[in-house]
Amino acid sequence: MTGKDYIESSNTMTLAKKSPSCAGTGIPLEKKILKDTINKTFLILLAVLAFGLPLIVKSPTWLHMIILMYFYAYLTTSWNMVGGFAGVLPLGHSVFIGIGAYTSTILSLQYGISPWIGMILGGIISIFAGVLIGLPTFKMRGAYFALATIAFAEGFRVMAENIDYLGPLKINGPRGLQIPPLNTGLANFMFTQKEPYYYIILIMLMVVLGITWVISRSKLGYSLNAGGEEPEAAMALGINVSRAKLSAMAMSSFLTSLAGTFYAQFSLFIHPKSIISLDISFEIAFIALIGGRGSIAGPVLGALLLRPVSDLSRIYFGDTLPGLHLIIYGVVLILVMIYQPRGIQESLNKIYENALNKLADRFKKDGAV
Amino acid sequence: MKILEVSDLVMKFGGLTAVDKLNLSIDQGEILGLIGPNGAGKSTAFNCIAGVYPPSEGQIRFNGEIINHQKPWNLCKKGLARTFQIVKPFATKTVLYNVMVGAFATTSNTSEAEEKALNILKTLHFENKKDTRSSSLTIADRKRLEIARAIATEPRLLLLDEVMAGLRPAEVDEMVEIIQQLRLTGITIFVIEHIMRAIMALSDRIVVIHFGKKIAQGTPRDVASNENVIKAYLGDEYGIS
Repeated sequence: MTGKDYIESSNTMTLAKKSPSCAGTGIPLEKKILKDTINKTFLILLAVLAFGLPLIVKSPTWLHMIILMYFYAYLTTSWNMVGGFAGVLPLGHSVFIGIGAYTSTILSLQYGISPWIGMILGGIISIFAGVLIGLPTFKMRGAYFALATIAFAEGFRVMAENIDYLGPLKINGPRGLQIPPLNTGLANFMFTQKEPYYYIILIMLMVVLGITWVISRSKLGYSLNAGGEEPEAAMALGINVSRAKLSAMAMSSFLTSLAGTFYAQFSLFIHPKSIISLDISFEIAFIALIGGRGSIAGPVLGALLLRPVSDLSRIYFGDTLPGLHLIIYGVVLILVMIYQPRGIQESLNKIYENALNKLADRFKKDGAV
Repeated sequence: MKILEVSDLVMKFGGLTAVDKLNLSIDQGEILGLIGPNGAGKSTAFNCIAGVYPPSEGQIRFNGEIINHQKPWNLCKKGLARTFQIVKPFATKTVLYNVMVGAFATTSNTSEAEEKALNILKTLHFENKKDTRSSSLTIADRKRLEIARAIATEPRLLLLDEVMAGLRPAEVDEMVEIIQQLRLTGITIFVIEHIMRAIMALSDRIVVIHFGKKIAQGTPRDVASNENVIKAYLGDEYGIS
């Protein structure tokens, strides 16, 4: 039991003590603790499974697909801080992927700086870019905000495609940059096997999920949610809505940018069309909408569901019906929006909650007997 | 001591003067009622005081400090809270979540905010609905949620904008009781209301405005028998004969 868990469980205890009248309506305390334990065990099992997966899955193709799945889950979770909690729909997050990828690649190709350092620098540049985009656009609502972010992303892509040299920095326009796989190893963020990439993106995903979890329970999370739903009411309750959105944007841009470096080192070739394209921005939004915006599990579930669809349809129909995965995305999105407007996480959450209750009851009975 | 002093407040929207040279002040611990026919400028005056609109002219002092161009969130931190005439709950969230958002105005600690929110729900007899999603509340409960959220910010002055509109008589009585209880905790209350029975029972003093101008003020009894007020509400042909 970590310190935080202890504080939380003791906190629920004090609350229950202070409010005896809620005992009738609320869940009995004992069961709640039991459920928490089952929850934690389940999460730990999931983590163990994720870490052990490369021992079972040996095929590089499958591993590649799973890595991309985690990559998108990571991207969408980072996006979710703004797109989910703050209640706006940014559609230009590929800008930050581009900044991350180009910063680390240029620094490592031209100056021999490790991509790990470039990754952080790219993240910091992305924070500035994110705040710069957010300052004028957060005042807009709904579709106008989405369109403004698209405009920024497209502008950035066109610039990257048309600039060969930015001062001493070689951007190489539409031809992109190739990273020669010479010095492999952890220090250079370059490996001949897929497994190291798998573990790196898995750890990144876990960290970003942890950050999201902490934010959703913090003042910032409450402020973002409130400001996203009813900005006027939120302001009257002491929340500086624009500032909350900007801090979320800064964090989201930083984290998204890290994924850009990862992608560059993973594919060893970047060009504007592949990493600053609207396709990626839209795919992130699709995954979030289908999985469930503003929830923690939503982006991961969305990526788990949609990435295989995309990859498999590309493998099997890539020659005959290119772009089929986008049509499937569209159909799935329409169906989800009609039947599950809050994303598939809601119904899955209910199912999980039910199973958890039954399991807790059974454990309790066993304990009593 | 005056907690709020409004002097010569003017609010213009283009060519329309919604509030015209309004003067009023509230003593610490008082309940002041603001009434007037529809479109008289009551809510606009409220919005100016709460920082939503910067007033075109005039001065608003809260605790002696001029607050004309302060932002709503800063005013809230200084101890000025408000409710909305058209309720604005965070609809997808639970009642507890809604109140916790207010409680975060004075703390950054989540469990502290939760404890505070639960205490407020308890004093408002609202605890049994703490896990209800606020979109499924009745209108009476939504109004109550507005108040719960506002007092969670620990205000010194609370602006209530028609918290009784649309309620049944029994619910109105309950709301009057809640507001009287709030006053006992030391909160000064400035209330807009259309339900005469309630505002007569609640207010220490009443200010009446019509077309943005103050036409009467005084105790509920004085105001109710004031000729200007009756004319404003019923038209010029009706006078006290």
